[in-house]
Amino acid sequence: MNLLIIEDQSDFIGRVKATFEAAGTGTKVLAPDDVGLVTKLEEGKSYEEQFFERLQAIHKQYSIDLVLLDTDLSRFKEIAISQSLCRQALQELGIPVCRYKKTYSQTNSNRLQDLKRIAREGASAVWVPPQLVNGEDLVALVPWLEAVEQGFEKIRDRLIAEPVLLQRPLGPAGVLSRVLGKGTLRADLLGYTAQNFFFFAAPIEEDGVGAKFTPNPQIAATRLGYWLLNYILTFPGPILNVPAAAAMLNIDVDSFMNLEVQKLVEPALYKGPFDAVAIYYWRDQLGSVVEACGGDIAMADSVKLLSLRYVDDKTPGAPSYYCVLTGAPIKRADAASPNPDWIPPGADLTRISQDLFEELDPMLSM
Amino acid sequence: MRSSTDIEPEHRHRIVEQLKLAQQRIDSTEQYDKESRTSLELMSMMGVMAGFLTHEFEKAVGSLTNAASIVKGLSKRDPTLAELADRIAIIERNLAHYMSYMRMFINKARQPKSQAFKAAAQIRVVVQTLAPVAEAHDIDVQVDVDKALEAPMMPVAAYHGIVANLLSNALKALVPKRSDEPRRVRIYATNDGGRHVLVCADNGIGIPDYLRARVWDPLYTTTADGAEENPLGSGLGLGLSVVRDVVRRLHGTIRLLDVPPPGYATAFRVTLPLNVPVL
Repeated sequence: MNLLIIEDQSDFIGRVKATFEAAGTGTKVLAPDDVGLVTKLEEGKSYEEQFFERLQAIHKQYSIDLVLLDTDLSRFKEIAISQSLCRQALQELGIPVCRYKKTYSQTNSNRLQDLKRIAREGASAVWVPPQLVNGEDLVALVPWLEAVEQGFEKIRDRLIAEPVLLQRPLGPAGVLSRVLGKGTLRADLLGYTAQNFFFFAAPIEEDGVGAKFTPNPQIAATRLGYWLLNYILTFPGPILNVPAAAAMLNIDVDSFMNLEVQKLVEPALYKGPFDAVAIYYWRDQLGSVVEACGGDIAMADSVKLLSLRYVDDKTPGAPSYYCVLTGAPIKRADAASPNPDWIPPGADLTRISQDLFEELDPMLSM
Repeated sequence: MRSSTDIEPEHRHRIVEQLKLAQQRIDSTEQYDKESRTSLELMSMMGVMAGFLTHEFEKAVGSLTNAASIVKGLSKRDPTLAELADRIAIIERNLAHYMSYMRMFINKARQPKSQAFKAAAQIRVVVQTLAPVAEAHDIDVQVDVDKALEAPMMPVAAYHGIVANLLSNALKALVPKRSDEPRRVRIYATNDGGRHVLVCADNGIGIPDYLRARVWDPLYTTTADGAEENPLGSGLGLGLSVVRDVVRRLHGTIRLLDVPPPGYATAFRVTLPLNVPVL
């Protein structure tokens, strides 16, 4: 992978380079100075245009696969660039961006703000989990970035291999469901398009008459990747992360991680773009697993004696919910209703716990 | 008055003495008012420093995050560092919580609009924010508020400010207490007719009778000089005075109870109309 890091602190760049080198993954880490990103721009010409052209030239020369972008770029002296200017240019070029902010430990209110930011700005960058960049040790950042890049690459490869996907009027949900190899998923994915029209809006031609969608696989893959990672996988609905999958089975995460339970749910494992970022499961296939166990996984022969812990023991067979703020399963009765509008309607297992909602909503206006 | 021949000399002398005393009190009050105003102005001017302080504090916490990570790494080679690594990590998490809370509070305080909210949840947020202080001094903070209890329609930051000040005063009163008795703070709230009643009681050192009236004076503090003895002794003496002003503006009252609940030494009782007319 060719990774461009846009960062104004040389010590951090040095640490990222050293960590990748030590990992021996073959990734080439390019710093702004290595590629001439931050030399002065000409006066009298559009700043944005010049910066875009510069990035385009860098991409042409170095084939950038992924950009690691700092949120605070105020220390660049030669050139005044902001992360939003970078995101905008990279979005046009279709280069995936992983954005980060070096900050302190996460709190519930930070987490809420991060999620709202993902919902608002998720069309132009993936957020690096803060714990991966906060400490001195950046070892965990390497596999995460590699996994994210591979996710985008998988989508791009599929679109290149099957160009018809972008030529047919399938809409984003139709295209992504086929990329994921699950045509029936289209209806579920439509629940994630409601607040993300801007995502796939076809560029309007200059005269404003016609709308033309440019089927550029690079740009389309990046958009679809953002959509999948920032919305569909972040706010569980048809595809579930581990705690959401546990919630679907109405058991706690420890019970879900039990080896016998893992054997039962293995057929439901999600295999597709970003499957190396975290472990995910198909909800419909988990449903089939539950059905095969007579409606309650805890009653399956192989786990009956393990005394799995229910999330809600009053309704053993019914799914509980996933609290997107705590990342834990919660009882249905403990979930706030209705959901804030930044949670996609398709994320039907995703909720916020009532207690946290009552604590944070008055102060942070969910 | 001194030169009047119409007043019997003995009475004249007594009246003059009383007038002199009254004049001294007026002078002293005026002087106190003047000093208070100046002092408040000076403190307000230092708001600019608070901005820098916040920025530096944020950087310091960031460095602490790195330090915690480094020490944790080193503790793999030298297990004696493990405890230190844990301690730094806890301190960093606590500071992160304070920062996060302060940001949330300041943003909300910029838009002081009346809104509906549940009292228990907001009291819980304040108590959780000050929990590291309570835990460090072995103070049990008990909240007896029904989860469903509606707070008054008021700016939520004002409610936070009231609870935070009453609770921090209670904690300050418990730190210097030397006794085998467990240290306790109890916060309870209820709605009585059209009014919201909030009580914060502690079994700390109590407030002596001769100071009871002075606790409301702006800039009066019991901790300014004793800061080294009381780890929480950083008060400016503005807390209760500001709380009283805010409560009054909300058409409510705040009282230091003459008779605290059994088992407690001090209790403040705030009452607020559930529907605050205008802030």
